[in-house]
Amino acid sequence: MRPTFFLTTLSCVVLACQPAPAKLSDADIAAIRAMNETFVANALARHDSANAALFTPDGAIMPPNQPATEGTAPIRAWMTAFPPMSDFKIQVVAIDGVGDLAYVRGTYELTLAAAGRTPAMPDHGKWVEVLRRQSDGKWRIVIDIFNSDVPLPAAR
Amino acid sequence: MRPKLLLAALGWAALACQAGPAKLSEADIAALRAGVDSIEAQILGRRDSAAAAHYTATAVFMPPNQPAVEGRAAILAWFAGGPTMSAFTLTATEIDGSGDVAYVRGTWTFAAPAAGKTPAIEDHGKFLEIRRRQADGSWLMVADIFNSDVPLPTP
Repeated sequence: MRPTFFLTTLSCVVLACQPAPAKLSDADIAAIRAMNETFVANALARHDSANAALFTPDGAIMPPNQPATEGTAPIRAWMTAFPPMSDFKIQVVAIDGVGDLAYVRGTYELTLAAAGRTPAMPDHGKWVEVLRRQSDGKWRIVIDIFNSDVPLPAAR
Repeated sequence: MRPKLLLAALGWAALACQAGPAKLSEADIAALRAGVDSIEAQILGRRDSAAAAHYTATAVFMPPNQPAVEGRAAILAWFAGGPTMSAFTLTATEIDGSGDVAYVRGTWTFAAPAAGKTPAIEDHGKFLEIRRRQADGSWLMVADIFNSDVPLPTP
């Protein structure tokens, strides 16, 4: 083998060996944004299995005023038990990450539907998600935590 | 150039060619865990400035039942306005990340003694921190959110 050939090959390897982009691509950000829009549509339509599938198999949802729920089946059960909503909106405030890891910060507004003598209950708050790109290229939720901005009622 | 030498060079180049950002090292995980431990001690010891120094200048702190608090100075003011605690623990249950981004998931407990008409408080819950490695190598929080595990009282 001639040295020139080897050097050319080595140069090609080194040039091809670019470090992964430090930041998420526009396509990553669009995919993550789209996944969150799907989550909202699924939640309103009570497509609980579809929403649970947006989490990794060992993903965790961490709602306020109850323990964390981990794993696809328990997350689906949690979603099924969640009261019906007459309105649910989210706003993505920030998406950032590196390589196959991303995090999203946002806000939400929802209204729990009136039921019997229970009036409709509005709420609004904030949330953070950690996501990982899976082997099929899809972004899935590893952790989802949220809390309300609404003050607790004063103790009597 | 001899083939063996070139093959060795190609092998080195391939090994150096990482597919993506590196996973966190043991030193990174130790530093992140130490960060959680130190903020626990600083909050309990009312060293509010030191606790706030774990956040980037533009970090967002998200306590429950109130709006988000944005920026290190505002976070410091929030800490300074909090009650004096008789107990406060933070336990990191998961630390993971890639490159210069990490997250810490964990649990917390909190107790504050009665003060005036305010009864003693005990609470516990969970948290999620998003941290970024800074130019000086330190890991600072860019986002910190938590909530309680305790059910709301029924009306």
